[in-house]
Amino acid sequence: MTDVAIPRPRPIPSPLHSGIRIGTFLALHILATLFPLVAGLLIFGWRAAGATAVIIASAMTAMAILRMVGWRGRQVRMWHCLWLAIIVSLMLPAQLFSLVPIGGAIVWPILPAAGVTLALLSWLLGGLGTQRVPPSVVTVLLMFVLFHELLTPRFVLRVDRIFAGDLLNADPAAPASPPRYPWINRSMASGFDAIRTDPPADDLLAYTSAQQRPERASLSVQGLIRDQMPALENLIIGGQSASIGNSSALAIIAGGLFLLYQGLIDFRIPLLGTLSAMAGLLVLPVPVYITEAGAQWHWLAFRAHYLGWPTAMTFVNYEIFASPLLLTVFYLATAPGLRPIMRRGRAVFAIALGLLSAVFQLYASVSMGPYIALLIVVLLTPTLDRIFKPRPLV
Amino acid sequence: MPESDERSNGAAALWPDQPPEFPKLPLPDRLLIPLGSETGGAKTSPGTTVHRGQVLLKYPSESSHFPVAPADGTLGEVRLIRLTSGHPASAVELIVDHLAPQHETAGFEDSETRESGLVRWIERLRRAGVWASRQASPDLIGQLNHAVSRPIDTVVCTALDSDVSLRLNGAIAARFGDRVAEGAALLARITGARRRVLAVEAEAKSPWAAPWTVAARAASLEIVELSNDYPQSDPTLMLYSLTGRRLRPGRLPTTQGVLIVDAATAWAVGQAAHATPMITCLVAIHDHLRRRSYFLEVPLGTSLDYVFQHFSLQDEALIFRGGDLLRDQRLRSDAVIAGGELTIHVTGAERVVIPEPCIRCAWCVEACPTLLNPAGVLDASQRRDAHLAQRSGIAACIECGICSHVCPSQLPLLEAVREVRQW
Repeated sequence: MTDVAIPRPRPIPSPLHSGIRIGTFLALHILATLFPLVAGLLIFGWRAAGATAVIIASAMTAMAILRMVGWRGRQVRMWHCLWLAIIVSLMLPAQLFSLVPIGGAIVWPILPAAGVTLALLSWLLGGLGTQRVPPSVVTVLLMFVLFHELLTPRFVLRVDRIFAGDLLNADPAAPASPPRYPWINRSMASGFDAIRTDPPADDLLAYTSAQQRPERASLSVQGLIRDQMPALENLIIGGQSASIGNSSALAIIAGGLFLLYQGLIDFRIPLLGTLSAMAGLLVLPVPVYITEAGAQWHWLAFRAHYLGWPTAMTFVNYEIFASPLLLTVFYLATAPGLRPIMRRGRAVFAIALGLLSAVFQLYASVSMGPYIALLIVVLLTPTLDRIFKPRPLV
Repeated sequence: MPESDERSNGAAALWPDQPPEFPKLPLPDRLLIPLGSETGGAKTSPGTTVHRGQVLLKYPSESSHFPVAPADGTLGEVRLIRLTSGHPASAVELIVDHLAPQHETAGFEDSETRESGLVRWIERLRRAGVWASRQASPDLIGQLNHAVSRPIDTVVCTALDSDVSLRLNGAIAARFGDRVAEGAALLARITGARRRVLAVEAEAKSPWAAPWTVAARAASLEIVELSNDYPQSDPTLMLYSLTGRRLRPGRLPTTQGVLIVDAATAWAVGQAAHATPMITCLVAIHDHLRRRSYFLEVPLGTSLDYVFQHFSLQDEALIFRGGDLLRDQRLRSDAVIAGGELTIHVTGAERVVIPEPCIRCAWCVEACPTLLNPAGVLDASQRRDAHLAQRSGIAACIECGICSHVCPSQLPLLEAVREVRQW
C-alpha cells in the first residue's frame, strides 16, 4: 500500500476583502473607455484603430522601459498606462494615422510622440493615486500647442462606409461646409469613403470670440446655428468631425453611465460639471449680433427680446456637444488622483470645472477649453481636501 | 448536527426555509468558567465539588455577573483565558463529572423572585450568571447599572445579524421568540422604558418572521423592520436608525437613554426570568471552506477546540474569527464561549496580502457607515499624527471593517484605526 500525501488546500484570497483590486478597478475604467472608442472606430474607421494602436504601443513600450528607472518606475502600472493611452487616443483625431502628408506636413510622428510623452509624464507624476496633474491632458495640450493646425479634425466617414472606409478618401473639391442633414440620414455621392467637414468647434469659437466677420450685414446667434452649425444629431448620435472619442455624445454618456453603475465614479462630477458649464454658457456674455461695426454682447440667460430660450438652449447644446466637456467630466475629472476625496469638495470641484470650462470655451478654445479648465481646477484639489473635512455621524 | 447548506447562492440559501434548530453539544470533560472582573470570595478553591447552577463566587464586583457552574463537577485552577470577543478573562476550570445526573432544571440561588425593582432585578440577573459583552449587545450588567442612575426610555432587542450566512439572532428570535420577547419586555419593565422595540430584518421569510411576530405582539413589543445592510446591527447605527440619537462608539447605549441587547441576550434574560441560569450559549459557526453553517447550544465555558473537534474542523492552517467577519477579530482555537461573541467564522489559510499604494479612489469614504475618512486615519497612523486622525473622524469609527473590505489597494485601514486608538 502506498501512502498518498493529502495535498493541503492552497491559500485562498482573504474572505475579508471584496475581491475588487486595483487591476479590476483599472480594467473597469478601460472597459468604460471602449464605449466612445468603439463609436470612434465606427465613425472614423481603421485609421482610428491605427492611431489608437500606435499611441498605446508607443506609450506601453516607453513605460516598460521607464518602469526600470528609479523608484518612480516601480510606482507606475502597465494597466494604468494602458488606460491613459486609450484616453489620449480618444482626445486626438484619427486622421493622424497617415503616411501621406496632410496640409503639407507629415503627421504620423505625432502619435508615437504623444505615447512617449504620456509615458514620460506618467513616470514623472507618479502612480495612480499620486498624479495630481492629469498626464493625458498635459500630453494633448502639449501636442495642441506644438501642432495646432494638424490636430484639427476635418473628416468623417460616410454612413455606408463606417469602420471599413478610409477617412482620408474624401472629395478634395467638395466644400467643407457643415452638412444640412443629419449624418445618419444623408445620401452620399459615390466614389469617396469620407466627407470633408470643418469641426463645429472652430465656427463656434470664431463667433463667440467675435473674430468672425459677417458675410451679409450682420450675423446673429440664430444665423450661426442655422447656417454654420451641423445638425445637432451629428454631435449627439455621431457624425461630426471630432477627436476619436468625441464623435458621439451618446457613446460618451453610455460609458459614463457604465462607470456610475459600477460605482467607480461620483455622479456629482459629471452632473454638476455639465450643469454649471451650461449655466456659465448662459450667463457669460456672447455676441448676439456681429456687424461690420463690431459685436453686440449680451448674456443669453437674461436675453433680449429677439433672443428666445430655444435659441439660447440650442446654442448651449452646441457648445456642450461640440467640445470635449462630456469626455472631461466623465473620464478625466473623475480620475482618482485628480478629484477631491470628500463629496462636498467634489461638488465645488465640479462646479468650478464647469464654469471655467464655459469661460475657456467661449473665449479661448472650444476643443481644448475643458482640458485647460481641468488643468486649472485640479490645482484646487489639495485645498478642497483641506477645507472639506469629514462630518462623522457621531 | 443541523447545518444550513449554502452551496447555491441566492435568497433560498441565505434564508433557509425553516430557522435552524439548536441541538445541544455534549458536555466536554473540562469547562472554563469566566469569573468576571474579580475573583474574590472564593468558592473556587481547587478540588471543590460544585453542582449545576451553583454560584461560584460569593462577592463578585458589582459590575460583573456571578459565575455559575454549567454542570456538576470539581473545580480546578484559576487561569487566564481569552473569550470569543478576544478579551482576556480569569476563568476557573471545571472538571465535569459525567457520571453525576445533570438535572434539566437548574436550582440557581434565587431568593427574591417576587421583587421587581431594577436593583433587585440586576442582582437576580447577575446571580443567574446572565451577562453579555459583544459588539451587537454591549455590556448588559453595565447598561443595567447605568440605568439605575439614568432614565431609559427605549429598550431595543435586535434580531438582526451582520452576516447573512450566519443568522444567529434571527434564528434565536424565530426558534425562541417567546423567551426573547419575554426577556426584552422584562428589561423594558424593570428599566421603566416606554418604548420597547424588536428590530428585525425586513427581508425575513415568513417561517422566520411569523414566530417572532406572534411573540412580540404578545409581549407588546413594537416590531421595527430594518434593511439589514452591514453593519446595521452595530449599536451606534441601530440607535441612529431607531431614535436619531448619536452614540459614540465604545460608550454604553444607556448614555443616550436606550438599552440595547441582541436576541441571544434577551433569550438569556427570558430564561433567567424562568429561573434558568445562563449555563449554555446559543452559538453559530460558519465553515467557509465547506460553506456550511452550524447552530448549536453549547455549555458555557466550552473551548472552541472542543466544538471544532466535534465538526472535524481541526487544522493548524485554519483561521478562526469571532463576531462579524469583517471586524477581523482573530481567535485562538482555545478561546472560550461565554458572554462574548457567539458567531465564529472558520476559514482556510489565506494569502499574504501585500498592500498597494492608496489610489485615492475614496471607496472607503463612500462605504463608511459613520462617514469618516479611513484613508486619512491610515495617513495619520503612518505619520503618527493624532490631530490628523481626529480630523479624519476616528472617534466615530465602529471598526466594522467595511473600509478594508472595499479598498482596492488592500490597505490595512482597520488596523490603522486600531493602532491609532492605542496611542
